[in-house]
Amino acid sequence: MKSSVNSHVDETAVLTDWPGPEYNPALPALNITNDKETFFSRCKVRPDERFSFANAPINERKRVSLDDMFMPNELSWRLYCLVTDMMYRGYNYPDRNIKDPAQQKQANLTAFNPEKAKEVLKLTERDKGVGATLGAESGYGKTTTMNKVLSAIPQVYRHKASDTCYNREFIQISWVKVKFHGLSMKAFIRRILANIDYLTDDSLATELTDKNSVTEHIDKLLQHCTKYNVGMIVLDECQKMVRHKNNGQLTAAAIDRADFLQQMVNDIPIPFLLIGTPILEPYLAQSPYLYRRFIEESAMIKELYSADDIFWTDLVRVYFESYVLPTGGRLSSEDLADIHEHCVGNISLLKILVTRAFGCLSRAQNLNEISMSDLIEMAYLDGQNEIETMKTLLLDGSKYNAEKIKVKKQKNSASSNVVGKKKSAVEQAGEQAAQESYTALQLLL
Amino acid sequence: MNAIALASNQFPPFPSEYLPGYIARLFHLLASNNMKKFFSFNSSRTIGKTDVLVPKIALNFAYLDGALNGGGAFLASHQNARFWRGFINEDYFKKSLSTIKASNKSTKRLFYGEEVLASLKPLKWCEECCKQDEDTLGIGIWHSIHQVQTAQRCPMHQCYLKQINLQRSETLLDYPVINESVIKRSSDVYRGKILQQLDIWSGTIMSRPSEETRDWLNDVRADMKYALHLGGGKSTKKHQLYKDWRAFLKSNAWLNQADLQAMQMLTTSNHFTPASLLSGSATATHPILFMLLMSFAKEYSSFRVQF
Repeated sequence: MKSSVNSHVDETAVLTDWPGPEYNPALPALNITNDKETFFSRCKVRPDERFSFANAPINERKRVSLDDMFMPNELSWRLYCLVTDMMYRGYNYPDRNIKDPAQQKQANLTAFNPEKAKEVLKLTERDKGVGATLGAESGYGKTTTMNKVLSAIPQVYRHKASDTCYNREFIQISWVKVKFHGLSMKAFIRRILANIDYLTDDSLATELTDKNSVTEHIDKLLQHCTKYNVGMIVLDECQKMVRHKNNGQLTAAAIDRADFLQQMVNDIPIPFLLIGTPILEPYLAQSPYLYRRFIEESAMIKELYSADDIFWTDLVRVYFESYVLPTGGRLSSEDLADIHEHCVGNISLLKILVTRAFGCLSRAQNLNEISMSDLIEMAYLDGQNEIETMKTLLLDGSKYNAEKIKVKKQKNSASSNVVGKKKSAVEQAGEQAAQESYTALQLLL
Repeated sequence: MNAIALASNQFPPFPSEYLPGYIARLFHLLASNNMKKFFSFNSSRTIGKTDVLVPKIALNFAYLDGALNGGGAFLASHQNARFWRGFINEDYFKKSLSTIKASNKSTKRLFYGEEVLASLKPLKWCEECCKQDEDTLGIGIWHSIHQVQTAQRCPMHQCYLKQINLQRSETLLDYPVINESVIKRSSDVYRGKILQQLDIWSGTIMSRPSEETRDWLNDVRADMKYALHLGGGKSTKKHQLYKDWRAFLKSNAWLNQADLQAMQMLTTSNHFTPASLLSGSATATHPILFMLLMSFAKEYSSFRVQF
């Protein structure tokens, strides 16, 4: 008699290879790569690797480094894997395959026999929605990173007629990303539709107004997601859905938004990705349904980069050595330590420091006399107010604490700004700029 | 590009789908709530009457400079079903379509007598086709081949069709697919003997190339003129012929539904006398009326139908 182990070996020996899913033209359109280096090469933007910025004007170095330059890291790779995996899973159903008659069949069922359409989704466990969350504190670079990750996936793909079951050209929208700006949820849906309109030269959003019901809005979105076989909807700034009363409980509007989100995810069987600050997690936890849907496969990033993190060190070096002071030589280990101390491993803080450094440079009389370490110190002093406020916010992880600090700082502003030290013209100009930036930062938060 | 043209790739028509039915289905698929905008060609113009809706909308699929693959062929199959293209002079047909294309306006009817045949235009469907469509497409669609005015049986399954007569206030937009409501309101298709004869003839005519039909028509016209003595002769004979023709129209239950107004127009208008119907002008008699005259001539004279 064979042992069970041997028996299993024998069985696997005769099994044929898994044939893989049916060919689905929607997937090659995503141009997914499983190779990290290939992904990095697709989304990185490094003009400093091709050009020297030693003789470039300060404003141009500032623009390129802060607006254009992007260095992909583990986070971006992790997000790319998350996003493409969700899209891959979302598309791998006959009713999402434009080569399969089931795709148009499901479109018909959705429009004319919704109950039967739901049965199809139930059979494939999609009646409860597919979702994930990207949660991280402000300043971690969520939005920038997600934008770059998504930019590595073609957003609009025009299929040839031969790609489709009924031999017609087909426009595929792989992803749509919209920001929640504290709008009503109806306006939010119209914004998603407007985004699709922009990409396809369609005019879907204009047919809806606030007079239309919530269900009409969701139905319309469903129809149009079906129309363009949308692969994923990314909702940014979702923390703005969350509003609390003075007693700490959610406001009625915030609860309504959660219900709306649940209905939307329920009815629209495509993956949703929410981006927001960690405040989103307890908000979603209010509804076990939403929590399970969105936190099951989430990327909650709470840690900050450590001083010896390779990505962090590389990023700091590129900013300062290639753009801020290209003629200033290499950063010393003390400089790196100072920068990390000021920025606590947070990319937004680093960008503030870099902005301040550029500001100091543009106001400086003699650029040749400025050393790297002096510039770092000047930049920090220039933006001390906002850097410290944001740092406190990050480290405490509480907006309320930040508000308290803000009030405290305002009360003590006369004494706290000058501590037995005569301020230079650069510092005074920096203070003014800092106040403006601080206001902007508060709006951001 | 208007909504229909844009959406026709994303939600394509199915093979053999009746074009007006497809337009109605598309309207619902897009969950459109703005009918005027949906049917507009551009921001300022909208489509006119329902009976000219089809050729105008069809232009979206056929004449967009090749932007939509297969559009021309798609139009052709529907135009054949609706217009019996072989009955129309080709130049006149092309001129008519190009006028619509250039001006976005309705043109004259291609056939005399279209208006009196309204009762022959119930929406028809086949139970077997409907079952198959539900399996493959999720819904029952309207098939163009079932909408040929004379059709009584499904050419695929040979079973008798079902029909639904739309009320005055209704259009196909109310019945974009064959659903429970359509099934509930439907009855067996009208099975008149004359209609059955016309169906056999029209089946033969429509299965042939248009050019062949045009040649055949010239021969048949000549044969009928000869058999009915319409080349000249005494007016008393003509008077008797017209009287008998009117009696034939009235006595034969070829109309699907009693339509007194249509019958009155047919029996009093000079356009529908045997001589007018055989005149062979560019704007032709409706094929069904022409075939009715064939049936009359066969009964009344020595005329024999040959294909």
